[in-house]
Amino acid sequence: MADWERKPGFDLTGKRAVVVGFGTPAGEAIALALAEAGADVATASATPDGEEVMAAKRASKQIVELGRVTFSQAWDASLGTNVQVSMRQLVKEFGAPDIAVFAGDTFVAKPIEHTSDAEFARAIQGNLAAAFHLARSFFRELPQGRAGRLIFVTPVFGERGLSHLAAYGAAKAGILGLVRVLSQEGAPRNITVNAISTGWMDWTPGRGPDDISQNRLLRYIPMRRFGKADELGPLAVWLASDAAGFVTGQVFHVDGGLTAHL
Amino acid sequence: MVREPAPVGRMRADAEYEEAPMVLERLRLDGKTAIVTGGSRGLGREMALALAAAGADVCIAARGAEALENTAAFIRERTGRRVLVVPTNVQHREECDALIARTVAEFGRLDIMVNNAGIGDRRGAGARIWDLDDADWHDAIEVNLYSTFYCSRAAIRQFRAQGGGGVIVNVASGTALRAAPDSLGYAAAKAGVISLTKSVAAQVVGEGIRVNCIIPGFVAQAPAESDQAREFLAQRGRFIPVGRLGEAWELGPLCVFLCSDASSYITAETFVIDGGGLAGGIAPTGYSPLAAQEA
Repeated sequence: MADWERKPGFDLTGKRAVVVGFGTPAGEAIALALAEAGADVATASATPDGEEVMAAKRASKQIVELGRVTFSQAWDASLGTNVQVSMRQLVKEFGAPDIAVFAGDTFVAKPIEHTSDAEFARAIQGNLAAAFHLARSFFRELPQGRAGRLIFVTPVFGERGLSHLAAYGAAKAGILGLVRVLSQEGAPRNITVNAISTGWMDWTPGRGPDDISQNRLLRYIPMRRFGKADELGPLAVWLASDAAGFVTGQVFHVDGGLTAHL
Repeated sequence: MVREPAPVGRMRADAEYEEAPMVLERLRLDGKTAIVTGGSRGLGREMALALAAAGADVCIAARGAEALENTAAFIRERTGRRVLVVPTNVQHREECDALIARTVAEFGRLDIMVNNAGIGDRRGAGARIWDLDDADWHDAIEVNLYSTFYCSRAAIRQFRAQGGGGVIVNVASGTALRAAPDSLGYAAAKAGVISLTKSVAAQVVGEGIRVNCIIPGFVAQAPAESDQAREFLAQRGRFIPVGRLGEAWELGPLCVFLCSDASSYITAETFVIDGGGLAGGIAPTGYSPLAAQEA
């Protein structure tokens, strides 16, 4: 009897990934998860910010400890040329990635009346334009005939409204637009494009204390706690795997039930 | 019942109608006949009133004859339209068929079917799934979903017999779109209503029949009549972005719009009317990341 040609869902042996964005713990957690699953993983900061660049380098060190090949860069993902030049260098030194993860995050919170043009532009550049630049360079540099995996990590604020996040929320919503469009554009090339939508994580700015008696926000989260970075890794590994080749254009929530809550 | 007359959106009275601009003319329902199930109380009563105010003759159906008669008298007095009363349990197919037949016998035709009847807090409400028995589950699905199917089918048969045209408006619930741990069957049935709306709309689109769905959030069925009730509603309202519950009459203008030619290109669509709840709902009302940072 004929059997399926089954593919592993959590094995990335022989694959190359690039993870961009180490300003939050999400980038590191996903980079390490991909490496643990067998991929060689390059890391890049999404901004030239010193701390983020160092976080990317630290992640690279841990990837080496896992026995994988790595490469670390400082990007300014808000600039398209910078991303393209960096990606070219990455392809030369490390090889063209099969998997690209965008975890860049530029947080801007202000009442709309007080949000300046510069702040709005910063939110759009640091979140939406940066995601676009990575996607474009990834599409350009992925060799013809190779399947690709593009994963955006983006908070729930792009889907649900929260006061004072006009610039940030709009930028994150734009990333979901990219997911839908690129899922169609990438499909003929076997490039899947998906998003991991995070709820209130233990690094989300403005979340307040962890104690439910002091923080009524926690009552809006069915699991009554904030999410942790290592809870993002397994989903990213699955999405990056050969078993997820039919999954595209989707948004997956890692949010403790938040978006199901009425 | 002591209450202020309900305002009916921005609908004009007949006398003002001559001066109304074109766009408002398209909202008129003169010469149309409508059925509103669950029409004796709450949202159904207000939608029936609004349809009558827009010029339709209205048949209201519900289980209790007395409440129906009271509402019918109220609508007649307010609008001068014909109001037919047909006591009906929409859980039963024969009664749904009879409702449509009776309306057609009385008014001569049917143009608008509003499937509003439904019960959220009947038997089984609050029950956990391991305690929920078959009868309560069936009850929730029958009264909220079967009713919509039975009445839609009977109405569409009538629409087709008339040569096409006609409008169906289903009333679902925001609970259908999110978790509703205290009303399992109700929420599942209402999700079914949303699905039925889209599929049926696609089946009948070629015959000029439109099918749409209103999804109310938390809506007060009647004005509060005591301080205690007012306080209760105010408490609930704090969890809604606009800071208050919806009021039943606010369904009226939307219902008229969906039943009228003003929405002639709209079908298979859902209309959420919930004070911003579904757009947010990830933090307490008014919550700002700034305030939390400063605190």
